[in-house]
Amino acid sequence: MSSDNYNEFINKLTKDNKEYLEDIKEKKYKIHKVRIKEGIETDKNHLMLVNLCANLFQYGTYFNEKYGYRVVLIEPFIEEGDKNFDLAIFNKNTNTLILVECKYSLSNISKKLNDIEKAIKSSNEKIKKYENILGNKIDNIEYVLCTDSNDSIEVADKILEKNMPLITWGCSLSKSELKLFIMKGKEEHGSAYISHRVHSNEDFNKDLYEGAKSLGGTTNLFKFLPSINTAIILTEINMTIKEMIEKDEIKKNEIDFINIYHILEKELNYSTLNESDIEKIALRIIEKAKIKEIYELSDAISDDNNVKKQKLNIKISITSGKKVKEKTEENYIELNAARRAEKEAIEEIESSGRIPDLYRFFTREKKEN
Amino acid sequence: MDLTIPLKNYSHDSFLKEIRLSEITGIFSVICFYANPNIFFKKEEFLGLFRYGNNKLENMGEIEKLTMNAYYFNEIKEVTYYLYFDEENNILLAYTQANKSDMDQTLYRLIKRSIGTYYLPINFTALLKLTNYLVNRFDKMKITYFTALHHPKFKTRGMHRPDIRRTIIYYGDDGLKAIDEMKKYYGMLPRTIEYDVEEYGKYRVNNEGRFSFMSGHDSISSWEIFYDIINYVLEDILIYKKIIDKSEYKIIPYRTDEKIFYLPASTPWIVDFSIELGDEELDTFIDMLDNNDFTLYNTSKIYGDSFTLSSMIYDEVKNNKFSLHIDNNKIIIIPYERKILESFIKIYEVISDFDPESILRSDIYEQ
Repeated sequence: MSSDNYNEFINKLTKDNKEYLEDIKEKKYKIHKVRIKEGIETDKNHLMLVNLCANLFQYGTYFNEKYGYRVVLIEPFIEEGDKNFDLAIFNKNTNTLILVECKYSLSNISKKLNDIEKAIKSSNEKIKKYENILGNKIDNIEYVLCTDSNDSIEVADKILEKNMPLITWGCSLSKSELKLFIMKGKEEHGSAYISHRVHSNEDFNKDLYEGAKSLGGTTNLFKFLPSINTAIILTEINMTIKEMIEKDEIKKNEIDFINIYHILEKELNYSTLNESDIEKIALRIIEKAKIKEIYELSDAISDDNNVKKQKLNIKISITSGKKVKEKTEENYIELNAARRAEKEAIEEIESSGRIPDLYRFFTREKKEN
Repeated sequence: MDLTIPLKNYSHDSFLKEIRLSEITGIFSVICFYANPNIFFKKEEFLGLFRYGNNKLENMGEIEKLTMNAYYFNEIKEVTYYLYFDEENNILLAYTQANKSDMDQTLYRLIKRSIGTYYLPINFTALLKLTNYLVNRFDKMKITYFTALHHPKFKTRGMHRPDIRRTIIYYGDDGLKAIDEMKKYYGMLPRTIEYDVEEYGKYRVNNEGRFSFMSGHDSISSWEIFYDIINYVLEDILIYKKIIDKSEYKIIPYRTDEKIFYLPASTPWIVDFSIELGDEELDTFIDMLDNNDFTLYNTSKIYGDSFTLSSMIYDEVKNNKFSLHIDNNKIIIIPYERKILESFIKIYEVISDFDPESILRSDIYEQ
């Protein structure tokens, strides 16, 4: 499982140092494995929350039919690398844009609020840009932070404290219910209205305050988001490939860049990403899957080692969907953790003073070559 | 025994009349199969499934004669079916006198693994309703035979040792009571029930979409009761089939002044559980899905006072994937394309086994 770099490095160490390095690596490996798993779980919960909101504002729902709200984009500003806001909901009747940021866990909530604050402040300058993205005049932008309903009081309190023009939605995933959160007792409705902590449409406020249930629950209207953990995207891609192979739509040994691109494109159609953005994501995913020994590339056909012109071979077992799922996640987590552990173990031993200076000089030079 | 009907052109009605007049002896069965309306629009398309190997199709007007080979250790047996494709309801009816083993070897085997089709499961609720209907209609109706099973994963636990897996074949004149007792005491759900209807005849209904006319073929009234039973059950089943057939995921354009966005919209189908589910029952249900070749992936589960599970799901047999949501009270399912609906018929069968009293409903928006 060890990488070539690591093997090369460890081979030059004394027996003592070898053991020392392996020991650190093992400890770090365990820590990273847990962290990577947690990262994937957090992103899955995030996706759940985004989909619950999206389900409520899709075509034909109560909010769509009564008021004209409709989800139009996922991660609307991801094209410029801006990960703030997961959903753009637009109302053509009133030219109102609602930007929703979903946050399942409250960790880093202060940082999140600061980020949103910055985003809100700069959005006045960006309004032309937003109008271009939507292809429509925008008269009013409303900002929403959607969290688990258990955390909504804390969040709404912080927002009030910071006097931010930010609306709080509380989500109960188990009830598939979304509610507008108002700090009754702490802030008068009039003040909340003026400060943009409730929506401009009072009937909509009333409906949302009473709570709206999503017919689709948390089912995945979107299977993934552009910035979601790669493991989630990769699992979806591989399951799709498995399905296509079984249905004779592609052959196991004839998968290529274009197949991956098309699977991504179908899903990311709902974002602002253009062809070249999606290409970049596809290349990044193939590269990651290669390192994690999920795909291997055929020999380069062209001189420039162009991934786009090569065939991909799936290295993991695809005898069943279950195998595909298990092996994709397993390889992703284990090899990711191993690489990080190796890197950090080398850094730690290098800074520990256990390796003579002269030797460090040589290894460093070699790495640069 | 093989069903032999003279080769000529029939309408569905004239075919049924021919059968009635042909002095059949032995068991006569009708099997109902689901045809995904997005894959099979017409009879010809469905018949395409059978055009391979040694299968033989002979046209008889609205009816198609199908001959398949059942391969056994020491013999190859020809098995005959007469097929009628009901374009209005998108179901295939197969008429046969084949025995269970021959059917399993041929038609069931093909249908279970083919894309776009599955047998139409007759669940516990439908069997119960039919039983009540027959009890009310015929004073002396008896259940003289049934088969039933209990799986430790069923929500129907029974009073005695619910963790034991058991199957039963029951013969006895008190079947009507025994079915209730088997459910109450041993958590057993019937798979096949034989109704002994007074002087008219004996009829079996099996959960894999099969109706069998066991005896009494010489009376017209007996035939009428047989078809009445089929119609009664089908009416019920077509309700859930229609809800499932309506579920979809489509891309709907949204126009702003200068742009068009193409966005998905989903129409789910929903099953309400008969009681509130706990964590343990959820795990059991997930195990049941797993045992029935459904693999959950990209799964997220939120615990707390109540739970929510959101997941993608892959049908290992039909190779279809879709999305589901489960919480304490219900299960919600959406497709990504309408070509996968047979997987829904399959998963609904698992849900019905898990919670026989659960109720399937369509898209009524709650506000």
